[in-house]
Amino acid sequence: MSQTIINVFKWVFAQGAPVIVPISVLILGLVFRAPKKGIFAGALRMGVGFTALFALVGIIFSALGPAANEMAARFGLSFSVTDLGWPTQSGIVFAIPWSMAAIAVFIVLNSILVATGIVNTLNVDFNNHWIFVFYMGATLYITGSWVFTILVGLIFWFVSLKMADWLYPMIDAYYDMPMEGITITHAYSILWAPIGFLLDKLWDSIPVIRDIQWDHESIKEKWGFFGEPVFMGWLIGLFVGVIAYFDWPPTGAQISSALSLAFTVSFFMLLLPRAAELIVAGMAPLSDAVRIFVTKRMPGRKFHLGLDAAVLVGAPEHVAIGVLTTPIAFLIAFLLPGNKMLPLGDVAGLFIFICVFITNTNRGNIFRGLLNSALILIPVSFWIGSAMSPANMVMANSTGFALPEGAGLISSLCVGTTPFGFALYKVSEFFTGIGSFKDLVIGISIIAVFAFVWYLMRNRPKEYAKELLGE
Amino acid sequence: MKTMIRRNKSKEKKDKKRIMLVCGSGMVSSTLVYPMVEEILKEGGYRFEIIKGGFNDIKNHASINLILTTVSPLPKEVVEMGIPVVVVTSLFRGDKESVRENIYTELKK
Repeated sequence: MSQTIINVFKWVFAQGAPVIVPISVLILGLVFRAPKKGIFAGALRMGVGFTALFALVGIIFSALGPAANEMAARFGLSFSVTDLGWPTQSGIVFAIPWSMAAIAVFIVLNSILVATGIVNTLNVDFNNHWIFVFYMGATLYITGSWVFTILVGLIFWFVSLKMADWLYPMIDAYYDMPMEGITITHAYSILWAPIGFLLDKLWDSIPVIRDIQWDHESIKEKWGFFGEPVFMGWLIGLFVGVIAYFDWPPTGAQISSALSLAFTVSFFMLLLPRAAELIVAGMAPLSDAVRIFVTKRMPGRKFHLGLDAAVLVGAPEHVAIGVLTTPIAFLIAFLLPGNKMLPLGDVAGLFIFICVFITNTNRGNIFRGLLNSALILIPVSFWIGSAMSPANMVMANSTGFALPEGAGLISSLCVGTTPFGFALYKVSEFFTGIGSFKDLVIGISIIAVFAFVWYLMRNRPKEYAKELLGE
Repeated sequence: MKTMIRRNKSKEKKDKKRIMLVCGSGMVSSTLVYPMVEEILKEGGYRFEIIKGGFNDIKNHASINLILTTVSPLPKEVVEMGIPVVVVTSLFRGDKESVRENIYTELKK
Protein backbone atom coordinates (compact mmCIF):
# COMPACT_ATOMS: atom_id res chain seq x y z
CA MET A 1 0.00 0.00 0.00
CA SER A 2 2.62 2.51 1.09
CA GLN A 3 4.63 1.44 -1.92
CA THR A 4 1.70 2.40 -4.15
CA ILE A 5 1.47 5.82 -2.55
CA ILE A 6 5.17 6.38 -3.04
CA ASN A 7 4.83 5.33 -6.66
CA VAL A 8 1.95 7.74 -7.15
CA PHE A 9 4.04 10.56 -5.71
CA LYS A 10 6.97 9.58 -7.90
CA TRP A 11 4.73 9.56 -10.93
CA VAL A 12 3.27 13.00 -10.08
CA PHE A 13 6.69 14.57 -9.68
CA ALA A 14 7.87 13.01 -12.93
CA GLN A 15 5.06 14.80 -14.80
CA GLY A 16 6.71 18.19 -14.54
CA ALA A 17 5.28 21.67 -14.25
CA PRO A 18 1.96 21.26 -16.13
CA VAL A 19 0.82 18.73 -13.50
CA ILE A 20 2.69 19.66 -10.32
CA VAL A 21 2.04 23.39 -10.31
CA PRO A 22 -1.73 23.17 -10.84
CA ILE A 23 -1.86 20.57 -8.05
CA SER A 24 0.00 22.89 -5.69
CA VAL A 25 -2.35 25.73 -6.66
CA LEU A 26 -5.32 23.49 -5.87
CA ILE A 27 -3.97 22.51 -2.47
CA LEU A 28 -3.01 26.08 -1.51
CA GLY A 29 -6.33 27.34 -2.82
CA LEU A 30 -8.12 24.99 -0.44
CA VAL A 31 -5.89 26.07 2.45
CA PHE A 32 -6.61 29.76 1.83
CA ARG A 33 -10.29 29.03 1.10
CA ALA A 34 -10.43 30.28 -2.45
CA PRO A 35 -13.71 29.65 -4.27
CA LYS A 36 -13.48 26.07 -5.54
CA LYS A 37 -14.80 26.80 -9.00
CA GLY A 38 -12.24 29.51 -9.60
CA ILE A 39 -9.40 27.41 -8.28
CA PHE A 40 -10.22 24.46 -10.55
CA ALA A 41 -10.60 26.65 -13.61
CA GLY A 42 -7.36 28.38 -12.65
CA ALA A 43 -5.44 25.15 -12.21
CA LEU A 44 -6.60 24.01 -15.62
CA ARG A 45 -5.52 27.26 -17.27
CA MET A 46 -2.16 26.99 -15.61
CA GLY A 47 -1.56 23.55 -17.03
CA VAL A 48 -2.50 24.85 -20.45
CA GLY A 49 -0.20 27.85 -19.97
CA PHE A 50 2.77 25.62 -19.23
CA THR A 51 2.01 23.42 -22.20
CA ALA A 52 1.84 26.51 -24.42
CA LEU A 53 5.12 27.77 -22.98
CA PHE A 54 6.90 24.48 -23.69
CA ALA A 55 5.57 24.43 -27.24
CA LEU A 56 6.85 27.97 -27.83
CA VAL A 57 10.26 27.24 -26.34
CA GLY A 58 10.50 24.17 -28.56
CA ILE A 59 9.66 26.17 -31.66
CA ILE A 60 12.08 28.98 -30.92
CA PHE A 61 14.98 26.62 -30.27
CA SER A 62 14.40 24.60 -33.40
CA ALA A 63 14.63 27.83 -35.41
CA LEU A 64 17.27 29.70 -33.47
CA GLY A 65 19.62 26.84 -32.62
CA PRO A 66 20.94 26.26 -36.16
CA ALA A 67 21.24 30.02 -36.76
CA ALA A 68 23.24 30.50 -33.55
CA ASN A 69 25.58 27.67 -34.59
CA GLU A 70 26.10 29.30 -37.99
CA MET A 71 26.85 32.67 -36.39
CA ALA A 72 29.40 31.08 -34.10
CA ALA A 73 31.00 29.12 -36.93
CA ARG A 74 31.20 31.99 -39.39
CA PHE A 75 31.90 35.04 -37.25
CA GLY A 76 32.88 33.66 -33.88
CA LEU A 77 29.87 35.49 -32.48
CA SER A 78 29.16 33.24 -29.59
CA PHE A 79 25.72 33.81 -28.18
CA SER A 80 25.71 30.63 -26.15
CA VAL A 81 22.85 31.82 -23.93
CA THR A 82 19.37 32.63 -25.20
CA ASP A 83 17.24 35.21 -23.41
CA LEU A 84 13.86 33.50 -23.17
CA GLY A 85 12.18 36.49 -21.58
CA TRP A 86 10.46 36.95 -18.25
CA PRO A 87 7.30 35.07 -19.22
CA THR A 88 9.37 31.92 -19.74
CA GLN A 89 11.66 32.72 -16.84
CA SER A 90 8.80 33.05 -14.38
CA GLY A 91 7.44 29.78 -15.81
CA ILE A 92 10.71 28.06 -14.91
CA VAL A 93 10.42 29.47 -11.38
CA PHE A 94 6.77 28.48 -11.01
CA ALA A 95 7.75 24.96 -12.04
CA ILE A 96 9.61 24.65 -8.72
CA PRO A 97 7.17 22.51 -6.68
CA TRP A 98 7.29 24.76 -3.59
CA SER A 99 7.19 28.11 -5.46
CA MET A 100 3.51 28.87 -4.86
CA ALA A 101 3.75 27.88 -1.20
CA ALA A 102 6.84 30.08 -0.76
CA ILE A 103 4.99 33.08 -2.20
CA ALA A 104 2.00 32.47 0.06
CA VAL A 105 4.35 32.27 3.07
CA PHE A 106 6.06 35.53 2.04
CA ILE A 107 2.72 37.33 1.93
CA VAL A 108 1.58 35.95 5.27
CA LEU A 109 4.94 36.87 6.85
CA ASN A 110 4.62 40.30 5.28
CA SER A 111 1.27 40.83 6.96
CA ILE A 112 2.83 39.93 10.32
CA LEU A 113 5.64 42.45 9.74
CA VAL A 114 3.05 45.10 8.91
CA ALA A 115 0.92 44.24 11.94
CA THR A 116 3.96 44.56 14.20
CA GLY A 117 5.07 47.80 12.54
CA ILE A 118 8.41 46.49 11.29
CA VAL A 119 7.50 47.44 7.72
CA ASN A 120 4.68 49.60 6.41
CA THR A 121 4.23 47.96 3.04
CA LEU A 122 2.15 44.93 2.18
CA ASN A 123 3.36 43.44 -1.08
CA VAL A 124 0.25 41.99 -2.68
CA ASP A 125 1.89 41.60 -6.08
CA PHE A 126 1.69 37.79 -6.00
CA ASN A 127 3.14 37.14 -9.43
CA ASN A 128 6.27 39.27 -9.06
CA HIS A 129 7.37 37.41 -5.96
CA TRP A 130 8.89 34.97 -8.42
CA ILE A 131 12.17 36.89 -8.48
CA PHE A 132 12.76 36.04 -4.80
CA VAL A 133 11.88 32.42 -5.51
CA PHE A 134 14.20 32.48 -8.52
CA TYR A 135 17.27 33.33 -6.43
CA MET A 136 16.11 30.89 -3.76
CA GLY A 137 15.75 28.16 -6.40
CA ALA A 138 19.15 29.01 -7.88
CA THR A 139 20.70 28.76 -4.42
CA LEU A 140 18.96 25.48 -3.62
CA TYR A 141 19.66 23.69 -6.89
CA ILE A 142 23.27 24.86 -7.06
CA THR A 143 24.33 24.65 -3.40
CA GLY A 144 21.80 22.17 -1.99
CA SER A 145 21.61 24.22 1.20
CA TRP A 146 18.10 24.95 2.47
CA VAL A 147 19.51 27.30 5.12
CA PHE A 148 21.11 29.55 2.53
CA THR A 149 18.10 29.21 0.24
CA ILE A 150 15.82 30.56 2.96
CA LEU A 151 18.31 33.27 3.97
CA VAL A 152 18.69 34.49 0.38
CA GLY A 153 14.92 34.64 -0.03
CA LEU A 154 14.24 36.38 3.26
CA ILE A 155 16.98 39.00 2.95
CA PHE A 156 16.20 39.84 -0.67
CA TRP A 157 12.47 40.04 0.08
CA PHE A 158 12.90 42.07 3.28
CA VAL A 159 15.23 44.62 1.67
CA SER A 160 12.73 45.06 -1.17
CA LEU A 161 9.97 45.78 1.34
CA LYS A 162 12.16 48.31 3.15
CA MET A 163 12.98 49.97 -0.16
CA ALA A 164 9.26 50.22 -0.92
CA ASP A 165 8.74 51.94 2.44
CA TRP A 166 11.63 54.27 1.74
CA LEU A 167 10.39 55.23 -1.73
CA TYR A 168 6.76 55.76 -0.76
CA PRO A 169 6.97 59.57 -0.28
CA MET A 170 8.45 60.16 -3.72
CA ILE A 171 6.06 57.79 -5.54
CA ASP A 172 3.16 59.57 -3.98
CA ALA A 173 4.54 62.98 -4.97
CA TYR A 174 5.77 62.11 -8.46
CA TYR A 175 2.73 60.31 -9.83
CA ASP A 176 -0.72 61.71 -9.67
CA MET A 177 -2.07 58.56 -8.07
CA PRO A 178 -5.82 58.13 -7.89
CA MET A 179 -5.63 56.65 -4.39
CA GLU A 180 -3.41 57.07 -1.39
CA GLY A 181 -1.09 54.51 0.03
CA ILE A 182 0.30 52.99 -3.16
CA THR A 183 3.95 52.08 -3.30
CA ILE A 184 5.94 49.81 -5.58
CA THR A 185 7.44 46.52 -4.44
CA HIS A 186 8.64 45.46 -7.87
CA ALA A 187 12.16 44.41 -6.83
CA TYR A 188 13.54 44.53 -10.39
CA SER A 189 12.93 48.27 -10.66
CA ILE A 190 12.89 49.76 -7.15
CA LEU A 191 16.32 48.47 -6.16
CA TRP A 192 17.76 50.79 -8.84
CA ALA A 193 16.36 53.88 -7.14
CA PRO A 194 19.38 54.69 -4.92
CA ILE A 195 21.69 54.56 -7.93
CA GLY A 196 19.19 56.60 -9.91
CA PHE A 197 19.26 59.33 -7.26
CA LEU A 198 23.06 59.32 -7.17
CA LEU A 199 23.37 59.55 -10.96
CA ASP A 200 20.92 62.43 -11.01
CA LYS A 201 23.24 64.35 -8.68
CA LEU A 202 26.20 63.41 -10.87
CA TRP A 203 24.58 64.62 -14.11
CA ASP A 204 23.59 67.84 -12.35
CA SER A 205 27.25 68.59 -11.81
CA ILE A 206 28.40 68.04 -15.40
CA PRO A 207 28.12 71.01 -17.78
CA VAL A 208 26.27 70.43 -21.09
CA ILE A 209 24.79 67.11 -19.91
CA ARG A 210 23.17 69.03 -17.08
CA ASP A 211 21.02 70.96 -19.56
CA ILE A 212 19.93 68.27 -22.00
CA GLN A 213 16.19 67.62 -22.18
CA TRP A 214 14.41 65.44 -24.73
CA ASP A 215 10.85 65.75 -25.83
CA HIS A 216 8.84 62.58 -25.31
CA GLU A 217 6.10 63.33 -27.81
CA SER A 218 8.33 63.23 -30.87
CA ILE A 219 10.11 60.12 -29.60
CA LYS A 220 6.94 58.11 -29.41
CA GLU A 221 5.90 59.22 -32.88
CA LYS A 222 9.23 58.51 -34.52
CA TRP A 223 10.25 55.32 -32.74
CA GLY A 224 6.93 53.85 -31.63
CA PHE A 225 7.36 50.73 -33.78
CA PHE A 226 10.24 49.58 -31.58
CA GLY A 227 7.70 49.02 -28.86
CA GLU A 228 5.76 46.53 -30.99
CA PRO A 229 6.94 43.01 -30.08
CA VAL A 230 5.78 41.56 -33.40
CA PHE A 231 7.85 44.02 -35.36
CA MET A 232 10.86 43.82 -33.06
CA GLY A 233 10.76 40.04 -33.14
CA TRP A 234 10.66 40.03 -36.90
CA LEU A 235 13.54 42.47 -37.10
CA ILE A 236 15.71 40.54 -34.64
CA GLY A 237 14.98 37.27 -36.43
CA LEU A 238 15.83 38.80 -39.77
CA PHE A 239 19.00 40.39 -38.43
CA VAL A 240 20.24 37.14 -36.90
CA GLY A 241 19.19 35.27 -40.04
CA VAL A 242 21.14 37.62 -42.30
CA ILE A 243 24.29 37.33 -40.17
CA ALA A 244 23.94 33.57 -39.84
CA TYR A 245 23.00 32.54 -43.37
CA PHE A 246 23.87 35.19 -45.94
CA ASP A 247 26.66 35.02 -48.50
CA TRP A 248 27.02 38.01 -50.75
CA PRO A 249 25.01 37.96 -52.98
CA PRO A 250 22.58 35.78 -51.02
CA THR A 251 20.95 32.79 -52.65
CA GLY A 252 17.20 32.29 -52.67
CA ALA A 253 17.51 29.53 -50.09
CA GLN A 254 19.48 31.81 -47.77
CA ILE A 255 16.91 34.57 -48.05
CA SER A 256 14.10 32.17 -47.26
CA SER A 257 16.00 30.79 -44.23
CA ALA A 258 16.43 34.31 -42.87
CA LEU A 259 12.79 35.22 -43.54
CA SER A 260 11.53 32.05 -41.95
CA LEU A 261 13.60 32.79 -38.85
CA ALA A 262 12.19 36.33 -38.79
CA PHE A 263 8.61 35.07 -38.79
CA THR A 264 9.34 32.40 -36.19
CA VAL A 265 10.85 34.90 -33.75
CA SER A 266 7.97 37.29 -34.37
CA PHE A 267 5.50 34.46 -33.70
CA PHE A 268 7.33 33.65 -30.47
CA MET A 269 7.19 37.27 -29.31
CA LEU A 270 3.50 37.52 -30.14
CA LEU A 271 2.38 34.35 -28.37
CA LEU A 272 4.75 34.31 -25.40
CA PRO A 273 2.62 36.86 -23.50
CA ARG A 274 -0.48 34.76 -24.13
CA ALA A 275 1.17 31.74 -22.52
CA ALA A 276 2.29 33.85 -19.56
CA GLU A 277 -1.19 35.28 -19.27
CA LEU A 278 -2.69 31.80 -18.87
CA ILE A 279 -0.29 31.04 -16.04
CA VAL A 280 -1.08 34.34 -14.31
CA ALA A 281 -4.82 33.77 -14.80
CA GLY A 282 -4.33 30.39 -13.19
CA MET A 283 -2.88 31.91 -10.06
CA ALA A 284 -5.39 34.78 -9.87
CA PRO A 285 -7.89 32.98 -7.59
CA LEU A 286 -5.07 31.91 -5.26
CA SER A 287 -3.54 35.39 -5.26
CA ASP A 288 -6.98 36.81 -4.40
CA ALA A 289 -7.55 34.34 -1.62
CA VAL A 290 -4.16 34.99 -0.02
CA ARG A 291 -4.67 38.75 -0.23
CA ILE A 292 -8.12 38.52 1.35
CA PHE A 293 -6.76 36.14 3.99
CA VAL A 294 -4.11 38.63 5.14
CA THR A 295 -6.01 41.91 4.75
CA LYS A 296 -8.98 40.56 6.73
CA ARG A 297 -6.68 39.90 9.66
CA MET A 298 -5.20 43.40 9.79
CA PRO A 299 -7.92 45.60 11.18
CA GLY A 300 -7.17 49.24 11.72
CA ARG A 301 -3.49 49.54 10.91
CA LYS A 302 -2.69 51.79 7.99
CA PHE A 303 -0.25 50.38 5.48
CA HIS A 304 0.99 50.97 1.96
CA LEU A 305 -0.03 48.61 -0.76
CA GLY A 306 2.93 47.27 -2.77
CA LEU A 307 2.29 46.85 -6.49
CA ASP A 308 4.03 46.17 -9.78
CA ALA A 309 5.94 49.05 -11.46
CA ALA A 310 3.63 48.34 -14.40
CA VAL A 311 0.98 50.54 -12.78
CA LEU A 312 3.26 53.57 -13.35
CA VAL A 313 4.36 53.10 -16.93
CA GLY A 314 1.57 55.14 -18.46
CA ALA A 315 3.64 58.27 -17.80
CA PRO A 316 5.03 59.58 -21.11
CA GLU A 317 8.68 59.48 -20.06
CA HIS A 318 8.39 55.76 -19.29
CA VAL A 319 6.68 55.03 -22.58
CA ALA A 320 9.44 56.88 -24.45
CA ILE A 321 12.19 55.06 -22.56
CA GLY A 322 10.47 51.73 -23.12
CA VAL A 323 10.57 52.38 -26.85
CA LEU A 324 14.16 53.62 -27.06
CA THR A 325 15.76 51.04 -24.77
CA THR A 326 14.78 48.27 -27.18
CA PRO A 327 17.23 49.14 -29.99
CA ILE A 328 19.80 50.25 -27.41
CA ALA A 329 19.67 46.91 -25.60
CA PHE A 330 20.02 45.09 -28.90
CA LEU A 331 23.11 47.12 -29.82
CA ILE A 332 24.62 46.61 -26.38
CA ALA A 333 24.22 42.85 -26.79
CA PHE A 334 26.63 42.93 -29.73
CA LEU A 335 29.08 45.46 -28.32
CA LEU A 336 29.28 44.52 -24.67
CA PRO A 337 32.50 42.71 -23.77
CA GLY A 338 31.86 39.36 -22.12
CA ASN A 339 28.23 39.17 -23.19
CA LYS A 340 27.04 35.67 -24.06
CA MET A 341 23.33 36.35 -24.21
CA LEU A 342 21.32 36.84 -27.37
CA PRO A 343 18.50 39.23 -26.41
CA LEU A 344 15.14 37.90 -27.43
CA GLY A 345 12.19 37.49 -25.10
CA ASP A 346 12.97 40.49 -22.91
CA VAL A 347 14.43 42.94 -25.38
CA ALA A 348 11.17 44.55 -26.49
CA GLY A 349 8.97 44.57 -23.42
CA LEU A 350 11.06 44.53 -20.27
CA PHE A 351 12.97 47.75 -19.86
CA ILE A 352 9.91 49.96 -19.84
CA PHE A 353 9.26 48.51 -16.35
CA ILE A 354 12.83 48.13 -15.11
CA CYS A 355 13.87 51.68 -16.03
CA VAL A 356 11.05 53.31 -14.08
CA PHE A 357 13.18 54.13 -11.04
CA ILE A 358 16.24 55.38 -12.84
CA THR A 359 13.99 57.78 -14.75
CA ASN A 360 11.60 59.10 -12.12
CA THR A 361 14.52 59.64 -9.76
CA ASN A 362 15.97 61.87 -12.50
CA ARG A 363 12.88 64.07 -12.62
CA GLY A 364 11.53 62.17 -15.61
CA ASN A 365 14.37 63.43 -17.80
CA ILE A 366 14.37 61.01 -20.72
CA PHE A 367 17.96 61.71 -21.72
CA ARG A 368 19.21 60.90 -18.23
CA GLY A 369 16.99 57.85 -17.96
CA LEU A 370 18.45 56.51 -21.19
CA LEU A 371 22.00 57.34 -20.18
CA ASN A 372 21.54 55.52 -16.87
CA SER A 373 20.06 52.51 -18.67
CA ALA A 374 22.67 52.33 -21.38
CA LEU A 375 25.65 52.85 -19.08
CA ILE A 376 24.65 50.70 -16.15
CA LEU A 377 21.30 48.98 -16.02
CA ILE A 378 21.29 47.22 -19.39
CA PRO A 379 24.93 46.04 -19.37
CA VAL A 380 24.48 44.72 -15.81
CA SER A 381 21.35 42.88 -16.92
CA PHE A 382 23.27 41.17 -19.71
CA TRP A 383 26.19 40.18 -17.49
CA ILE A 384 24.15 38.85 -14.62
CA GLY A 385 21.60 37.30 -16.94
CA SER A 386 24.41 35.39 -18.69
CA ALA A 387 25.99 34.46 -15.36
CA MET A 388 22.72 32.94 -14.16
CA SER A 389 22.37 30.57 -17.12
CA PRO A 390 24.00 27.53 -15.41
CA ALA A 391 21.64 27.91 -12.44
CA ASN A 392 18.75 28.30 -14.86
CA MET A 393 19.70 25.10 -16.66
CA VAL A 394 19.90 23.10 -13.43
CA MET A 395 16.62 24.58 -12.28
CA ALA A 396 14.81 23.78 -15.53
CA ASN A 397 16.19 20.24 -15.60
CA SER A 398 15.40 19.51 -11.96
CA THR A 399 11.85 20.84 -12.04
CA GLY A 400 10.69 19.12 -15.20
CA PHE A 401 10.48 22.34 -17.18
CA ALA A 402 10.62 20.83 -20.64
CA LEU A 403 13.49 22.10 -22.74
CA PRO A 404 13.84 20.67 -26.23
CA GLU A 405 16.68 18.30 -26.84
CA GLY A 406 19.84 20.02 -27.99
CA ALA A 407 18.65 23.39 -26.71
CA GLY A 408 21.47 25.75 -25.83
CA LEU A 409 21.86 27.54 -22.52
CA ILE A 410 18.92 29.58 -21.37
CA SER A 411 18.48 32.58 -19.12
CA SER A 412 16.75 35.95 -19.22
CA LEU A 413 17.61 39.62 -19.04
CA CYS A 414 15.00 39.89 -16.35
CA VAL A 415 16.92 38.01 -13.66
CA GLY A 416 19.92 40.17 -14.50
CA THR A 417 18.09 43.27 -13.36
CA THR A 418 18.43 42.43 -9.66
CA PRO A 419 22.13 42.59 -8.76
CA PHE A 420 21.19 42.45 -5.09
CA GLY A 421 19.59 39.01 -5.39
CA PHE A 422 22.53 37.88 -7.50
CA ALA A 423 24.97 39.10 -4.83
CA LEU A 424 23.21 37.09 -2.11
CA TYR A 425 23.32 34.04 -4.35
CA LYS A 426 27.06 34.53 -4.98
CA VAL A 427 27.79 34.85 -1.27
CA SER A 428 25.92 31.63 -0.52
CA GLU A 429 27.83 29.87 -3.29
CA PHE A 430 31.03 30.72 -1.45
CA PHE A 431 29.83 29.74 2.02
CA THR A 432 28.54 26.37 0.85
CA GLY A 433 31.88 25.56 -0.73
CA ILE A 434 30.53 25.62 -4.29
CA GLY A 435 31.92 29.00 -5.25
CA SER A 436 35.40 30.46 -5.14
CA PHE A 437 36.73 33.45 -3.25
CA LYS A 438 36.02 35.48 -6.37
CA ASP A 439 32.29 34.76 -5.98
CA LEU A 440 32.42 36.07 -2.43
CA VAL A 441 34.20 39.25 -3.55
CA ILE A 442 31.63 39.85 -6.31
CA GLY A 443 28.74 39.31 -3.92
CA ILE A 444 30.12 41.43 -1.10
CA SER A 445 31.12 44.27 -3.44
CA ILE A 446 27.64 44.52 -4.93
CA ILE A 447 26.03 44.52 -1.49
CA ALA A 448 28.55 47.08 -0.20
CA VAL A 449 28.05 49.44 -3.14
CA PHE A 450 24.29 49.11 -2.84
CA ALA A 451 24.34 49.81 0.90
CA PHE A 452 26.77 52.73 0.53
CA VAL A 453 24.79 54.41 -2.25
CA TRP A 454 21.60 53.93 -0.31
CA TYR A 455 23.26 55.47 2.76
CA LEU A 456 24.38 58.53 0.76
CA MET A 457 20.87 58.95 -0.62
CA ARG A 458 18.95 57.94 2.49
CA ASN A 459 17.15 61.27 2.85
CA ARG A 460 16.64 61.84 -0.83
CA PRO A 461 13.08 60.48 -1.39
CA LYS A 462 11.67 62.85 1.22
CA GLU A 463 13.63 65.88 -0.06
CA TYR A 464 12.74 64.96 -3.60
CA ALA A 465 9.06 64.71 -2.73
CA LYS A 466 9.26 68.21 -1.25
CA GLU A 467 10.95 69.53 -4.40
CA LEU A 468 8.32 67.90 -6.60
CA LEU A 469 5.41 69.21 -4.59
CA GLY A 470 7.00 72.63 -4.23
CA GLU A 471 7.29 73.13 -7.97
CA MET B 1 -37.46 32.03 -10.30
CA LYS B 2 -39.72 33.21 -13.07
CA THR B 3 -39.20 36.85 -12.26
CA MET B 4 -35.48 36.38 -12.42
CA ILE B 5 -35.64 34.94 -15.88
CA ARG B 6 -37.81 37.78 -17.06
CA ARG B 7 -35.44 40.34 -15.61
CA ASN B 8 -32.48 38.78 -17.38
CA LYS B 9 -34.37 38.89 -20.63
CA SER B 10 -35.20 42.53 -20.30
CA LYS B 11 -31.54 43.22 -19.47
CA GLU B 12 -30.49 41.54 -22.68
CA LYS B 13 -32.19 44.26 -24.64
CA LYS B 14 -29.74 46.70 -23.19
CA ASP B 15 -26.78 47.55 -25.34
CA LYS B 16 -23.78 45.35 -24.85
CA LYS B 17 -21.02 47.33 -23.17
CA ARG B 18 -17.56 47.04 -24.65
CA ILE B 19 -15.13 47.36 -21.79
CA MET B 20 -11.41 47.54 -22.19
CA LEU B 21 -9.38 46.32 -19.21
CA VAL B 22 -5.76 47.45 -19.42
CA CYS B 23 -2.53 47.31 -17.47
CA GLY B 24 1.11 48.07 -18.18
CA SER B 25 2.03 44.81 -19.83
CA GLY B 26 -1.43 43.65 -20.81
CA MET B 27 -0.53 40.43 -19.04
CA VAL B 28 -0.24 40.50 -15.30
CA SER B 29 -2.31 42.93 -13.30
CA SER B 30 -5.17 43.06 -15.80
CA THR B 31 -5.33 39.27 -15.64
CA LEU B 32 -5.32 39.33 -11.85
CA VAL B 33 -8.21 41.80 -11.53
CA TYR B 34 -10.18 40.26 -14.40
CA PRO B 35 -12.31 37.93 -12.24
CA MET B 36 -13.18 40.77 -9.83
CA VAL B 37 -14.13 43.13 -12.64
CA GLU B 38 -16.20 40.42 -14.29
CA GLU B 39 -18.04 39.82 -11.04
CA ILE B 40 -18.80 43.52 -10.57
CA LEU B 41 -20.22 43.77 -14.07
CA LYS B 42 -22.30 40.60 -13.65
CA GLU B 43 -23.69 41.88 -10.37
CA GLY B 44 -24.77 45.05 -12.13
CA GLY B 45 -26.72 42.96 -14.61
CA TYR B 46 -24.87 44.40 -17.57
CA ARG B 47 -24.36 42.69 -20.89
CA PHE B 48 -20.71 43.17 -21.49
CA GLU B 49 -17.63 42.10 -23.31
CA ILE B 50 -14.22 42.59 -21.69
CA ILE B 51 -11.27 43.21 -23.95
CA LYS B 52 -7.99 42.81 -22.13
CA GLY B 53 -4.73 44.37 -23.18
CA GLY B 54 -1.91 46.81 -22.63
CA PHE B 55 -2.68 50.52 -22.60
CA ASN B 56 -1.08 50.80 -26.03
CA ASP B 57 -3.74 48.45 -27.43
CA ILE B 58 -6.65 50.79 -26.71
CA LYS B 59 -6.26 52.60 -30.01
CA ASN B 60 -6.68 49.29 -31.85
CA HIS B 61 -10.24 48.79 -30.70
CA ALA B 62 -13.30 50.67 -31.85
CA SER B 63 -16.35 51.81 -29.87
CA ILE B 64 -15.10 51.13 -26.36
CA ASN B 65 -17.64 52.29 -23.75
CA LEU B 66 -15.37 52.25 -20.75
CA ILE B 67 -11.70 51.84 -19.93
CA LEU B 68 -10.78 50.08 -16.72
CA THR B 69 -7.12 50.47 -15.87
CA THR B 70 -4.53 49.59 -13.28
CA VAL B 71 -2.12 52.03 -14.95
CA SER B 72 -2.40 55.56 -13.72
CA PRO B 73 -2.04 58.13 -15.12
CA LEU B 74 -2.84 56.89 -18.61
CA PRO B 75 -0.87 58.42 -21.50
CA LYS B 76 -2.18 61.66 -22.88
CA GLU B 77 -3.23 60.23 -26.24
CA VAL B 78 -5.50 57.75 -24.44
CA VAL B 79 -7.02 60.47 -22.28
CA GLU B 80 -7.63 62.52 -25.41
CA MET B 81 -9.80 59.76 -26.87
CA GLY B 82 -12.44 60.92 -24.42
CA ILE B 83 -13.50 57.45 -23.31
CA PRO B 84 -14.58 57.29 -19.65
CA VAL B 85 -11.88 55.82 -17.43
CA VAL B 86 -12.15 54.08 -14.08
CA VAL B 87 -8.96 53.24 -12.19
CA VAL B 88 -9.36 49.81 -10.61
CA THR B 89 -6.05 49.61 -8.76
CA SER B 90 -7.78 49.70 -5.38
CA LEU B 91 -9.23 46.25 -6.11
CA PHE B 92 -5.82 45.02 -4.96
CA ARG B 93 -6.61 46.54 -1.59
CA GLY B 94 -9.89 44.67 -1.54
CA ASP B 95 -11.83 47.90 -1.98
CA LYS B 96 -14.52 46.55 -4.26
CA GLU B 97 -17.25 48.98 -3.19
CA SER B 98 -15.76 52.23 -4.51
CA VAL B 99 -14.69 50.61 -7.76
CA ARG B 100 -18.15 49.12 -8.21
CA GLU B 101 -19.72 52.50 -7.61
CA ASN B 102 -17.42 54.26 -10.07
CA ILE B 103 -18.02 51.66 -12.76
CA TYR B 104 -21.80 51.77 -12.40
CA THR B 105 -21.79 55.57 -12.41
CA GLU B 106 -19.81 55.69 -15.64
CA LEU B 107 -21.91 53.02 -17.33
CA LYS B 108 -25.17 54.74 -16.44
CA LYS B 109 -24.13 58.00 -18.07
